[in-house]
Amino acid sequence: MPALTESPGYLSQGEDSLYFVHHRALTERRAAVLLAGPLGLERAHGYVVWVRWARFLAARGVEVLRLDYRGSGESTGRFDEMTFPRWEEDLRTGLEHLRRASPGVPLMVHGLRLGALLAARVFRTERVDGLLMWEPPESGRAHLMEVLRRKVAADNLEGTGGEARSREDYVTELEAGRHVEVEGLPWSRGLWRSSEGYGLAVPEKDEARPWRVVHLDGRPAERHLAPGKSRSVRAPRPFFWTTSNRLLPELAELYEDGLGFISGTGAGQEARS
Amino acid sequence: MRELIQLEVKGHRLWGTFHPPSSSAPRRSVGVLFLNPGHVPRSGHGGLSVQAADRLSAEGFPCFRVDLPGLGDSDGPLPEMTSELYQLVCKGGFVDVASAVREELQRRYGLEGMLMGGLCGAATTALYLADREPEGVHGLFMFEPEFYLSEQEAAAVGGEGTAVEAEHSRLSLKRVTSKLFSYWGWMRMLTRENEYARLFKYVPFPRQRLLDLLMDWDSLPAVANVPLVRAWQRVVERGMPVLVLTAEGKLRDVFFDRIHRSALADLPHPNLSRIRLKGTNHIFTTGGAIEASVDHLSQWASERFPGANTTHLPVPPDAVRPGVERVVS
Repeated sequence: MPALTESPGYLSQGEDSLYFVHHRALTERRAAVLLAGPLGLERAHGYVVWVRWARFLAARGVEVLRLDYRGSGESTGRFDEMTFPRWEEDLRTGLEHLRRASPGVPLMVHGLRLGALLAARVFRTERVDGLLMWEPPESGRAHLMEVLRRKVAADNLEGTGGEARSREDYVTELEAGRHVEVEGLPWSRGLWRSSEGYGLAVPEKDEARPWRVVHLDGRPAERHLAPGKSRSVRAPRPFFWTTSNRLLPELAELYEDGLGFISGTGAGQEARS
Repeated sequence: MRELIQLEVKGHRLWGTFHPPSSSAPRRSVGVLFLNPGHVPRSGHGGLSVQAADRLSAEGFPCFRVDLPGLGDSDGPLPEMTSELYQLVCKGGFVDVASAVREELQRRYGLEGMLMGGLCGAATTALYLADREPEGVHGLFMFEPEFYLSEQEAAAVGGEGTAVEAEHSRLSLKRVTSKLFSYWGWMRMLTRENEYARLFKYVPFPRQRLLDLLMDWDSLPAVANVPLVRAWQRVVERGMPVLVLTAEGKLRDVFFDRIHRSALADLPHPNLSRIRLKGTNHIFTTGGAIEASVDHLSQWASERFPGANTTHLPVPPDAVRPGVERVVS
C-alpha cells in the first residue's frame, strides 16, 4: 500500500463540522490551493473530475485542500439553514487550515461554478496570492435561477415533482418562507435572499495579485467576462458537472492552464483566448 | 456523530464514513452499508445516503458509507465512459471489493451481519453479494435497481435492439431513424425519460398499451441481466428480507415489474417489500422521494431487524482509525 498522501478530516465550524480532504504535494512544494467546488447535483456529477484535478496538482508539487460546504456532502449542518455568506465562512476556515499546513508558498483559491462566486469574495478580503475561476456564474441569483430552470425542465419533461410549475412559482414559494425541493435539497428563503446582490466579485482593474477567469465553452475573446484576464478552453460537452456520458473527459488543456496559473509560471502572463 | 474510516482491502485504500449507533436506541446486531450510487460519491444524490445513515444510526444501527475504488475519495482506476462503468457494475465488477469491505467492517465492529444496498449500481452490487454471501448479508435494500444490461451490451448479445441497430447503420438519416426504431428510445419515451416524452402533452397517446406491446410480461426480456435475475431469484427464494423502492412509471420500475412477474412467477416472496414512489425520478431528487425513501428504509429495517432492549456494547478500540477526528452532527 503506498504512503498516505490524501487525508480526509473535519474542521470545526461553530457547532458543525467541515469535511475536507488534504492532498499533499508529491514533489517539492511550490504552491498551495484551496479548491471551492460546486454544489448540489453539480457537486455529485463533477466529483470524479474534481478529485482527479486535486491529484493532478498534488502530483506536480501543489498542496491541495478541498472541502464540502456545510449542509452538503460529508459536512454536517442543515442545508436549509445555509446561505452564500455562510459558505464563504467555510472557505475562510479551510483557507486558514491550509495556510497553517503549507507555510512559505503562495496560497491560491480556485473555484468552480458556485465555488468561483465564493472564492472571488474570499480573494477580495483575505491574504491570498491568486484567484482562479472556472465557469463562474454572473451572480448567486443567476446561478440559483439556472438551477431552478433545470428543475422545471426536468420535472416537466419527466412528469415528476407534482403539479407543473414555473420558476416564478418557486420564487414565490421561497419568498413566502416555504422550502422548495431542488435537486433533492431544501432551498430556503434565507438561501434565496442571500443570493440577492451576490454578484461575481470580479477583482478591480488595479488588482496586483494574479487572477483569471476560464470559460469552458470555447467562447471568443469578445465574449470574455474579464477581457485581458480571461481564457477560453473548449471542454467536452455536456460539461463534467452535469449529467455527462464521460466520467473522465479530456481536460488536459484546462489542467495545464490551471497548473501554470497556480504554480506561478503562468500567473503573470496575460491570458489568451 | 460521524467518524471517518479507512479500509485497506484487495490492494485498495478506501475511505468511508461511520455513523455510530445512538446509545439510547435498541442495540442492533447488524450494520447497514451503503455503496456508491453509480459514479456519485458516498453521500449520494441530494445527500440521500447521509440522511438515511443519520436516521438509521439514531435508531441503533451502526451505519457505513464507503467509496469503492475510483469513486468519491477512494483512489483507483475508472473507465473513461459512464456506460463502461455501468457495464462493469452490471457484471459484478465491484462485488469482490464490496465483499472485503463488508467482512472488514463486520470484523472491526463485531457485527453479526450487514444490511446492504443503495441506489442504482449500489443495488446491483449488493444483490450479487447477497446471493453469494447470505451468511454475511442479512438484508438487502434496492432503490431503483436495474435488471437490464447496458444498451450497448444488449445490442452485443443480440437483444431486442440488435436488429434495428444493424438497420440503422445502413440508413443515412441515422439520427432520426435511430430514435424511431430504437427499442430503448421507445422505452425511455414511454416512461417519460427522454426529450420526446413532451409529445404526450400535445398528442393523445396510448402509453400503457404501447408499453404492454413492447413488454412481453410473461418472459424475461432479451435485455435482462440474466446473472443478476438469477441472483434475484435465489435471494428471494431463500427468504432474505428485501426492500425495493422504485420511481413509479419510470424505466426501472417498469422493468422491475416485468422481472418480478417472469422471474418470481412460482416463487413465494413474503419477505419482499416493494414500494413505488410517486412523482419522482431515477435519482429520487424530486417529489419528496429522499425523505420518503429514508422513512421507508428506517421502517423496514426496524421491523425486520428489531434490536435487543439493551445498551450498545462499546465499540472495539481498533474500530476507529488512529488520529481520526470525531465530530458532533
